[in-house]
Amino acid sequence: MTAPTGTAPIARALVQLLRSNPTLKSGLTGGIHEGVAPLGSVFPWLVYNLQYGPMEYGWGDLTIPSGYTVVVFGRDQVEARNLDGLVVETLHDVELSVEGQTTLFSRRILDLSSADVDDEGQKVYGIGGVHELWTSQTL
Amino acid sequence: MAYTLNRSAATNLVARRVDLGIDITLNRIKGLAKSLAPVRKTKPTGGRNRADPAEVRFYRRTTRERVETTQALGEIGQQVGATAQQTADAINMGDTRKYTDTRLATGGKKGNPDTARRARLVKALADAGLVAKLARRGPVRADTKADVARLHGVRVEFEGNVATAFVGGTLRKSIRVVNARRTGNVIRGSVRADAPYAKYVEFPTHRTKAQPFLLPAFKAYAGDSTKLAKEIRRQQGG
Repeated sequence: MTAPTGTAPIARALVQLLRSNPTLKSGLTGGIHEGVAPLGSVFPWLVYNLQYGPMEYGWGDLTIPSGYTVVVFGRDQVEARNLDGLVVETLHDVELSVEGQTTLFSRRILDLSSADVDDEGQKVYGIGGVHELWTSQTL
Repeated sequence: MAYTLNRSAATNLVARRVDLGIDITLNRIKGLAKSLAPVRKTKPTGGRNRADPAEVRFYRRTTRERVETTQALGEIGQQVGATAQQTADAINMGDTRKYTDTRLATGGKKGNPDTARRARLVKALADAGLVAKLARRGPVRADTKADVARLHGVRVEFEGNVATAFVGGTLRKSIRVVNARRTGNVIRGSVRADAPYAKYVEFPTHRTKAQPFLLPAFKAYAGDSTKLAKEIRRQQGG
């Protein structure tokens, strides 16, 4: 019986796929970060975070319906929205190459939008959403 | 913010069971969300922190002592152009130990006016004999500190020599179930987090990491509602 590989390879595959889009990669000047971007990062940047990852065991297999929050933060609302569009284009309904697991589906299930003011008093827009990725592993 | 469960209830025979099932699921979601919701905790190292041992010591004085000291602090503060609060902060933040060098009275190497004010304040306190009086104060037992902090709405837990003050709990308290309500053949119930900043905890902001609590709880019991729906279909002969 194989041990469950969990959500780590899913996150790896997600980042790999995001980086594989050259337009998105060049547009994200501040880079792609897990959780939070380090201090001094240049806008725009992308932050991804595991929102949930319950494990559903079946007879001989394991399904993980994991949710990842992917948000683009930028000074310009239009730029952030365009980059988010590229994120959806890259992630929606595609097959991720997850090590040891098979992708069942990958979809944007929730949109998020926020506006904040940073320490310099300038506006920061956060545009993104939650992507649900269903993967299956044979145990 | 809230997440809602919608279930179609086709017949009245199973309606009650559906209501009960949804209520149980919602309460399970609420329970898990409460345990996942982060509680703000801090290590009491700074004087501005209510559970700081120095400040607790300050509160520990008798009322008479406190009134006398507050008056004295106000008078001394006035001499050097500081408020009573700034004077109290100077004691609580350990300035009486840090700003003893008389050369700091001109603001140190960088000529910092804040450093100059603090140093002048400490000198004035020393001249009034208050620094020595504060230094003589004996240590207060850990459980007494925790009791005093609790009176100020702060829970303190001690593990060895390390004290952790829990100053939060608002988010957890704000999580509640909105009871299932029937509209036509749709039953709707919600689990809500009413704290205004709940969204900024659940999802990331440009300066903070997400600490999801509501969506993971909802997803953990999403299977229950599917099972419930299957059972209803079976009871209906579907």
